[in-house]
Amino acid sequence: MNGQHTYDQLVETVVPRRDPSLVMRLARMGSFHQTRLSFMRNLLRRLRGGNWIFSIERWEVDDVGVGVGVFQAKGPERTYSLVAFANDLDPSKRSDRVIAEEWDATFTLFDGVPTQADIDRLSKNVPLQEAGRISEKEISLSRANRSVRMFEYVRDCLATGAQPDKAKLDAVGYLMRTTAVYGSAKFGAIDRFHIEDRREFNAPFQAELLSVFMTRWFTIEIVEHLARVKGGAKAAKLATNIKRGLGVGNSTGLGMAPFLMNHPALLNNWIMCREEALARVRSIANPTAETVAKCRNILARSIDDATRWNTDHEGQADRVVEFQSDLQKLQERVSNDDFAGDLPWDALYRWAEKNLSLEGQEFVVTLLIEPHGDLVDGLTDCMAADEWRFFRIDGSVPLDTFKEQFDESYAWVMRTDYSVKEENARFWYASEEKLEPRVGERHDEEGAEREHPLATGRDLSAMRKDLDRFSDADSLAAFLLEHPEHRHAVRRVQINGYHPYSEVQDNLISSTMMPIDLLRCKLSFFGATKFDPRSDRWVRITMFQNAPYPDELDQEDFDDWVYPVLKGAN
Amino acid sequence: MRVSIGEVQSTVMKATRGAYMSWGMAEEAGRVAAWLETRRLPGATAAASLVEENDSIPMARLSPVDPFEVIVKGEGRLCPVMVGAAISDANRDEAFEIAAVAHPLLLVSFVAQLGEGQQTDFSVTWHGVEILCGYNGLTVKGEEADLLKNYVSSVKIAPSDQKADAVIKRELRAEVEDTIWDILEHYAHRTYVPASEASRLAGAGAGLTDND
Repeated sequence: MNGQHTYDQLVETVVPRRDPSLVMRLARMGSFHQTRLSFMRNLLRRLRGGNWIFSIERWEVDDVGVGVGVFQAKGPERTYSLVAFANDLDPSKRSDRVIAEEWDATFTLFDGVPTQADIDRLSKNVPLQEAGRISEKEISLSRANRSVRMFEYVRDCLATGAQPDKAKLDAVGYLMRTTAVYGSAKFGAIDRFHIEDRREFNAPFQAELLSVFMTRWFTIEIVEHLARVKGGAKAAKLATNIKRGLGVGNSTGLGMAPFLMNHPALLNNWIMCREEALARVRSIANPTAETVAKCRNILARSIDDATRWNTDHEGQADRVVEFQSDLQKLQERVSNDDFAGDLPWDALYRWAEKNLSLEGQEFVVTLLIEPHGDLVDGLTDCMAADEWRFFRIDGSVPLDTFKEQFDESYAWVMRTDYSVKEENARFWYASEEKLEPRVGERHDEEGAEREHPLATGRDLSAMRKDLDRFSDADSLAAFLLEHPEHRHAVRRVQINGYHPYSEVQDNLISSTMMPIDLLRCKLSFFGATKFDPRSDRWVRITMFQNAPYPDELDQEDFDDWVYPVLKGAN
Repeated sequence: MRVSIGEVQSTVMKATRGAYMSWGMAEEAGRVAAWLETRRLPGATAAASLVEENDSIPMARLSPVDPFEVIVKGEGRLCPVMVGAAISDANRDEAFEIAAVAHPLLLVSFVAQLGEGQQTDFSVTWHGVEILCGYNGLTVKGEEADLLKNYVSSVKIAPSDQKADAVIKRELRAEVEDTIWDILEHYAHRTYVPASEASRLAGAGAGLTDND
């Protein structure tokens, strides 16, 4: 019987991992859902396993909601503190875009326990965000704005001693939205390489998500505080079941898209682990009754949850409708299946490939992985990457070998004619204003000569053409000596040699490219839900919705927190 | 300026790109500066002089002719990042010399890279400076003024029987003089595109209200 493996045992798979040419397409990556390998779920498993203790060490917030709070997380080896600065923001200044200059609340994750001097220093810098400086004592820098309609509604209900309507809150999913959450060396924060050896931060984005997990706690504290100011003694606290449905919103723009292209080894490891998890499950010969029951249970809860997936984005709204119909088909298929045939999970996956939309197919990946924690959770130890390890180019490779490798793995590059206007329509750049990544229209806007090296397909194709002007016996070193402009493209190809999932196999400067597909892929690995695109280049999501709060991590229903419990199920 | 190592890496990358390098070569430059600064060597300062000296010069004029020669040389002063990348690509494993190179300090991490790959240590010497680097770590002998020379007529590189000291502590921060940091930012600025109202709306994807 399968399902008894731990990650340090070699797991044999009879079904291979899906091919990069299938997986690494924008349309599919833009349909990924969270899985149990997500960084949020991995974080909470670790916090629970390590019996982390959380406390509020300081709460000095005045009657208009201005002040500072210090939230502490004490782990087996180290203590971290979320230092939160609450603000009374003029509504006209409230914007989630990176171009904003003031926020409802700002945060930093402090390494240890801050002194008064630290807090004084941080109070002069953290509220300024990009315009301030933090130090090697800080790990992240972030900010959040209120969802005005929800925040005021909840405050006013609580002030009168009443509870807000749960359905209304569940539909939005949060009281506050973070925008940027900066980590790793940004604005003076500590470099990742100094903390990556810590057990709690080795997996990707654990520090940033710890700060978001604690930010969620702050959003409850601040709304209850302001309800007390307004309602005095009659004010209520938020009921536990209502609180659960509140996560932290996030508004994410183009800023995080280049990250995927700039961290090819890391992207590979994320995708490879997810694909390996899927292959392991598809290879199971005899599913246990328990895993089948779990699969049916998660599906029922997901069908319910999908009714609360709200979006005004036309394309995504259509996809949600199609997804909901996919879920119905899936339920029919799963309830009629006795899971007794040959490789039953594999059969289910193959059925999904034929019968469901990409949203539905990728949800099946999530669903199949879900009941098999003992078989797949260890993979989360393999999702980090040291890009520098693969940075050095091996110039000794003869060009015939290099070309062969390229032609085998990069067929996708050569299927596009980059001289066609529509295929060369965009350029990625950093704006002078906020130093943030943007996408411009090459044929209409100034600045294309300052383009960043993210036009991967076009650059790889240009490199391939120049390779033909050299003899097969020449070395890559000789080629690069003459063509330093191809150095970044050559590096990508060599990294791909060890990392088959390192490249997004689509033209990233095409007129039809949708940056939100890149964002969705990345955010799904974080563990985000309720993708709500606001245009083709920014998206709102929810993080930690339905998650336990810091004082609930030891509860029994912990493992599958992301799927809300069905009404009447308890 | 007290900056993170990541800030050194990205600012030097953008500055060298802004001044004269291709992106792939600028990535090397950023890595070199970060490598040096984590070892308490003034990589950002050397990089700042380099971009000022080489501003807008075509790369071909700063490149070695043949990285496999016994004496590696170019038509004029070699760029240490370009010659460093070339000898790393060539995977030199015997004694050789580099003639007429600017800011030799910026070569060192490439030699260390050769040593790491070949599991040996290499010596790097120029007037007043003796460095041992590679598989075992890094040992530096020389005054700061010699380390920061903006030009030397000869650098000798050879596999060594001696063992470099292990690098025990990696620096948390780089201390870079404000004037030096300003130079790097000035050149880095050339990689940014000035904002227009159109780019704010379209490029960043804003335009819809968030005040809801």
